[in-house]
Amino acid sequence: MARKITYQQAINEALDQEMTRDESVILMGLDIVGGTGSPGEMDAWGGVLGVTKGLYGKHGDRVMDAPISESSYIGAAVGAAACGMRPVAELMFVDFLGVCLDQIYNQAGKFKYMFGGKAETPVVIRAMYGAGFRAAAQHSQSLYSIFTHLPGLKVVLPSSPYDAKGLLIQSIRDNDPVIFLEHKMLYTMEGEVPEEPYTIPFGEANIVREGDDVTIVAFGRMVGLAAEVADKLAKEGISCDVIDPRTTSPLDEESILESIENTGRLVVVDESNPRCSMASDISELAVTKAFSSLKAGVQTVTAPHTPVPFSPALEDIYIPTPDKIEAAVRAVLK
Amino acid sequence: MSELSKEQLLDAYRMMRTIRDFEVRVHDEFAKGGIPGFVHLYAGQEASATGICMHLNDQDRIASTHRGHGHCIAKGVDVIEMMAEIYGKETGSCKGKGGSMHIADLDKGMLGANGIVGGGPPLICGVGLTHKMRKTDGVGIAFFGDGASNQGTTLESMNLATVWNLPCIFVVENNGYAEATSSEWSVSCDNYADRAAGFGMPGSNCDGHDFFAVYETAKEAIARARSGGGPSFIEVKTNRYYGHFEGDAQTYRADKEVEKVKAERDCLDMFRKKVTDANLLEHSDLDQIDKEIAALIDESVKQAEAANEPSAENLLTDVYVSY
Amino acid sequence: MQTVSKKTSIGIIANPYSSRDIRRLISSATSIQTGERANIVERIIVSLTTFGIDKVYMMPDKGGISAHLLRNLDSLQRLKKMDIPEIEFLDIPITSTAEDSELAARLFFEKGVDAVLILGGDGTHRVVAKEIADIPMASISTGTNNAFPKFHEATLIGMGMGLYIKGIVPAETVLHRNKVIHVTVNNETRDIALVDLAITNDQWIGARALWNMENLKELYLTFCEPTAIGMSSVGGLLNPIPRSDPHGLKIVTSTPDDCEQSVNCPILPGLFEEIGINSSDKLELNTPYEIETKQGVIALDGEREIEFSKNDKVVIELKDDGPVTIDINLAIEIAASQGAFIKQRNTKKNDDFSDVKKNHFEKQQFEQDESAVSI
Repeated sequence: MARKITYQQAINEALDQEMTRDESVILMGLDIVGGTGSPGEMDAWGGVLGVTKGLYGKHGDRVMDAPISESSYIGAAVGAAACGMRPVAELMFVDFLGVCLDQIYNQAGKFKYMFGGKAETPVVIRAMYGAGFRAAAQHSQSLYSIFTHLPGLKVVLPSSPYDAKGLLIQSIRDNDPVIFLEHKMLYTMEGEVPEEPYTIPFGEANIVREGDDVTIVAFGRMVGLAAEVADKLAKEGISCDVIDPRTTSPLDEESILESIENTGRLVVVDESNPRCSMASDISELAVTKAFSSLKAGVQTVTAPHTPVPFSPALEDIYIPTPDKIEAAVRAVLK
Repeated sequence: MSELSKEQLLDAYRMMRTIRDFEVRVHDEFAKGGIPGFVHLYAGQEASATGICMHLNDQDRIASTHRGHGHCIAKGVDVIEMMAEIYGKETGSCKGKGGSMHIADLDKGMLGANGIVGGGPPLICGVGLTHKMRKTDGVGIAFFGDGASNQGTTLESMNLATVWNLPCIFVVENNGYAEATSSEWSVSCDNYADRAAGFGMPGSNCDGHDFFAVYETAKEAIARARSGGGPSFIEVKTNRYYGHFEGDAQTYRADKEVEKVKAERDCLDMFRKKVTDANLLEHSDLDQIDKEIAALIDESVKQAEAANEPSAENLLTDVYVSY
Repeated sequence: MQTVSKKTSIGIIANPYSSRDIRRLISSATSIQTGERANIVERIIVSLTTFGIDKVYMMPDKGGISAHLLRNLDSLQRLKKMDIPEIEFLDIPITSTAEDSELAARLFFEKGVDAVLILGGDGTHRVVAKEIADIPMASISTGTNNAFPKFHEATLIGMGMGLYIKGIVPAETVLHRNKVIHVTVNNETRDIALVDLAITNDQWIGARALWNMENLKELYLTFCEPTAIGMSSVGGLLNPIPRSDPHGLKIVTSTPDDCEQSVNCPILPGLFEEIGINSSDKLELNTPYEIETKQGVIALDGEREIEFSKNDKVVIELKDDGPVTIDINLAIEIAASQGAFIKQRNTKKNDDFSDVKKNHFEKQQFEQDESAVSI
């Protein structure tokens, strides 16, 4: 039975159901319980934003607080995965990848290849990303393209409560290392989510809106903004195909190319910085594999090549907006 | 103490001899140009890997370093496949995709040589965590060098292992040099036992040239971890006979430094003298092993040279389980 | 004619590598950190300063003690204000093993220091005792087993040493000669034991420390006190023998089930073992004993040191030619009873304790310095 829950609840439910199903699923991270060793209550926080609240009560010591020591506990998750566990480690903010990246890309991401295929590392690393929270430069980035660049990792960007649950369950059951990125502005987003467990396969884009005039490929939180623009333009008779790839690695190139071949016009909406980004990656895809279908130059809507500013006045103009997306759509139609 | 059976003594010698001959041969073949890439040799340190790994079974896991051949052999990785891997051949342990720095065999509990200094200790926390969660008596051993002892990953892992009370043993093989930099200069506190104490675990040192010293020390640390007593730290004081990598002229070392160790403290010579003086083994027993190992290493090189290069389609496989 | 008092000096053995062995793993035995070892040396130096000792020779190390000490001497105003002894680190190669202690002790002997201070336990004392002949030693028990060194705070040890060196207390009263066990293998002198010599049927020296009592066969003790930890505790709890008695103790052991008596002994800090007693006899002075075990290992003061086979003839002998130690308690007690610490306040303004005391000691020194070199 589907009912309306938030993105955050969907994530919590996915973790809960998978932990119940499979004993080898364990959770670790800073304050994912909250209160370990402190004089007050255990499960005081349930994650810094409460995403894992209540899981300690249900699953006990399989939900573990770690010291603020990302290299060690992310590495421990990778090592445990190589021993057959299915750890879900929370990095809290994706911006912290700088203090543990080696364990993710040099260890987890390469074991299988380096060891001639004889290793499986079914680890999930959850982290929140994205601007809009007034969290400033070191807690607001959208760093998914860095992980996407690295072979051996899979990268997941759910844009709705429904996708969050289905993609997280898939991530936990998947046998490769998965980077599961949650947009912090989406935690309170509500949506229909089935109660029972389900999976959404990786590499299968979600066609959020169907249309014949323009293809809009959007990632994460940008999917909702793109859909909003598409709905507005539909009233003018401009129909947009809004594609949410859901996972940047693997990437559903086929759905994207099929749409471009149909519309001949492409707008890519990406909250991250523009260089070596998903925006440039999708543009390259269109140019190298669907050039003959293109009727106009590709338009990208991204953040500028700057750190994320703190001031709300600045942050609001840093993040791509519906207006900018609309302008880009109109530009490719010229 | 050290009541090792004749078979165990023979095994210990065989293992150390295999490592030594393997490394000496890789050294020679590398010099001839037969081996591509970076190679870091373990010769001189054999008693460490052997004295520790003899206590381990297949459920126990180790993480190794860029100087990993010795750990691989001691943990039971096939020598023929290892040599082929170092040659980059498709019959190698990792189908030629890993090479010297990444030889692994997870079935044998060998989590890989590691090209990243300090890459292994966090993984071993994961091994320890797995054993703890599954309530087995398995342990994880992180081998690392004096260089890696200064890495944040190592120090963070020591903290985590204590905080989570994990069955992990941190083994620093202190061969005196991190690449070309002296550990006496680079390690703020030369006494690793002090560092261990700072992380709430016992630290002990032992003579890495004496198999029996390593064996006994490891036995206690491993028994402690198996019985739920948590992590501990061992400093194995050792020497490497070759350079940091093959081709290293080693001008940073003292005059006759290695020659002196070889003459006075060689782990194989010391072992042979002890067991024959005590009339536990005959020289002929050991000579027989020497012959067998020489033949095995010859065979490994022969097979490696004859083996096929990996075919082009191997470039794209083994990145993901599914994609 | 002019009298010049001889320069006074001591040597300090502080090896950062002692007490780091397997006993940390077996029984959480003592592990005094490098920083604290350096602090101990610093406190000793302060104490010696008040007695006007001229020079301190230090064993060098790469383990942090000397570095820590030099940093403090260089930076602490408290120390800079004092007229501390000249400190010289010996110029010896550093091996970061017990060999450093051995070589430093030999050099202290050559330099003719007035006394040697040892930070360590039974093992370190044994190594040093072999090298310094009759130079008196004082101890800070920082080792694993500390049956030989008595426990005192460093400051008091500095006081006791100062009192002896400056002749404020009589040498014949505060110096004690210790018994020692000599061991020969095939008539060749091999080593000594200050407290205990154990024969086991182990096959190897291995990790050196002795803790597995299943293999224990014979014990030879120079003395044994009931409050000791280590192999001598077997004798200490069975039949105590004071340091001053002209004999030692020989015990033949076996597994407890094979014996009529057994003793539960603290053979390591934090580790008790049940030792079966086959026999226990006086160990006579100046009498060679051939050991009974045919093949095994000889452990000296708790550390396996010598492997022997059935072809080897091992003989031990208790002698009264061991190291000379300073009785710190006695030295301070005598000095106090003679009023040696009482300040003679000539003016109210002069309230610098150390200066007054220094004057006092220098006065005494002058008075009794009859043997001073005249030039």
